[in-house]
Amino acid sequence: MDPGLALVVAAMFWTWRTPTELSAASLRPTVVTGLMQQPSSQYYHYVYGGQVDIARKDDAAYMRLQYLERPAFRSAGYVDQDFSAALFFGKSVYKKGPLGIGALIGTGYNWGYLKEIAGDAPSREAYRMPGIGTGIEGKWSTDRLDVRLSYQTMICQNDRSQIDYYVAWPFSWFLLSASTPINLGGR
Amino acid sequence: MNKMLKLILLLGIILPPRAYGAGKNDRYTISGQGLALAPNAGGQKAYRIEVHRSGHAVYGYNNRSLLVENATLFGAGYDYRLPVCDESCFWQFFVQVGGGLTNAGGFAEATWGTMIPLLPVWLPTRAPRMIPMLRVDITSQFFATRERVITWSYPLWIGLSFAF
Repeated sequence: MDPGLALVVAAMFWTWRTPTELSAASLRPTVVTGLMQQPSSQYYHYVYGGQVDIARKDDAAYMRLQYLERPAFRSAGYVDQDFSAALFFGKSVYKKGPLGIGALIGTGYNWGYLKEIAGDAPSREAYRMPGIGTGIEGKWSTDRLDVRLSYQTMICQNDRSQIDYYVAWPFSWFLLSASTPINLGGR
Repeated sequence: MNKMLKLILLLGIILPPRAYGAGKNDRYTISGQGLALAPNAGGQKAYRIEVHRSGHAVYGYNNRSLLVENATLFGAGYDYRLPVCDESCFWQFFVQVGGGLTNAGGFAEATWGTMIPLLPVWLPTRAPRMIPMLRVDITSQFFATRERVITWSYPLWIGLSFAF
């Protein structure tokens, strides 16, 4: 995966076809909570984090910066933890009153570690994988409150050689967020 | 290949945008997909045939890399397409939500997809008919079992589409 390529795709999606009459902007900072599924695992882990949206009116286009982490898990003398950070570009694809659906695409990184808590020669393993992220979210949004339920995936690869073997690591998240939009002005 | 693709995408950003609004959705689009990546060497041999018109898509699929008892996973379903950039765009983006039935039970589905006409240049026009398009999906399916909800992903499910 080339994050630069993904960013170019996302920028194209962001700038194309946004009508000028929807130029009013708002800011939506919030905390996020939800569940994460690691690749090839059917277990769900609790995650939390934060995100901030910069959005045009009615979500005609919006940009999201997001950070997530899974709490450190300690067992049998080891501790491990996962993290994620991403930049998304989104757009409303359906709207009826306060209800709507948004679609997002972006890029980011997943990283984490596994290490021994104690020992004569404690070992530590870590990973860091870039990826392409996509998302779809349902929202209930008014001028005062914005609540969203999102499903996101990030398709990651350790290195470019994995594409030759058709390998990719899909992370999945189910996320809930609520925020109070801050009006930045505009029409 | 990577540099050429970036150049085409940059042209798509700097060229002036066309009028906003959905195009006519009177085309049938048939898509066939044949390989998806996976968290194991060799990817997933997963095949899907889909017919779409006016936002409604019906499909059948078979994942030969997953077994349900003694048979490979197969099923059929319906999705509703929500366009991000529809047929009035040369390069289409969309999301689809829906579900169906398989030999492993019922499922819900969310797909993020794109269709790129296989022409050697980018054209500031709507998606052409009768020209094969490269289709790339990122699809997730959700199966409800007695113990948990199973999420299965098809990262970069690749195929061809044809609109007429």
